[in-house]
Amino acid sequence: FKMEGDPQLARFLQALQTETQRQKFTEQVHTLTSRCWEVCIGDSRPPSKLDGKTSTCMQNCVNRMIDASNFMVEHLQKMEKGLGQ
Amino acid sequence: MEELMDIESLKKLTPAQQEQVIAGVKQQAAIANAQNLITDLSEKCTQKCITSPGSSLSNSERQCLQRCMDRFMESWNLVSQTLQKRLQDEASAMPNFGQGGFS
Repeated sequence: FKMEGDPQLARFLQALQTETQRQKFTEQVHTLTSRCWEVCIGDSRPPSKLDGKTSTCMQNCVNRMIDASNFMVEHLQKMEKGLGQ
Repeated sequence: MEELMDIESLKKLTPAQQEQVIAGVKQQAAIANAQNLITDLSEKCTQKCITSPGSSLSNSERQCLQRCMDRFMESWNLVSQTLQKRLQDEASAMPNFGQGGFS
């Protein structure tokens, strides 16, 4: 698959990839917002504004969810390695 | 999008067709996002606000729904900013950081 002669095609493929990545990002935002809403606002009535405490909770939640996901992937990889031996 | 992944077909597209493909992908993404938002908003906000359904939607229920939607959108924006920052931090810490992705 030769691209040298076709910068137009290269740009196009790059643009497609950018859109795909953008969509992946947006899907992550949906998932995280949904989960962190449950964690940080949970069962209480919706507040009249997003205060400092809730805001901090949201930010922490996003980062901890990512940490948790990374941790679990790492652990899974270790488990798979163990099984393979 | 599977049918788009055939390189040979992609090569045959004219620049105008390429633009259409990109526009189509963007539009599909926008529609999917709107649907996700509506689904989430409906679920979260009706759960919180419609707790003792009467014979019509009361003012307090309307206010609750409004508030809930506003807070949810603010949360969405905050999560977006936070995620973006996190990805940027990781990318600068590890130059070869791949797609990763959170599931």
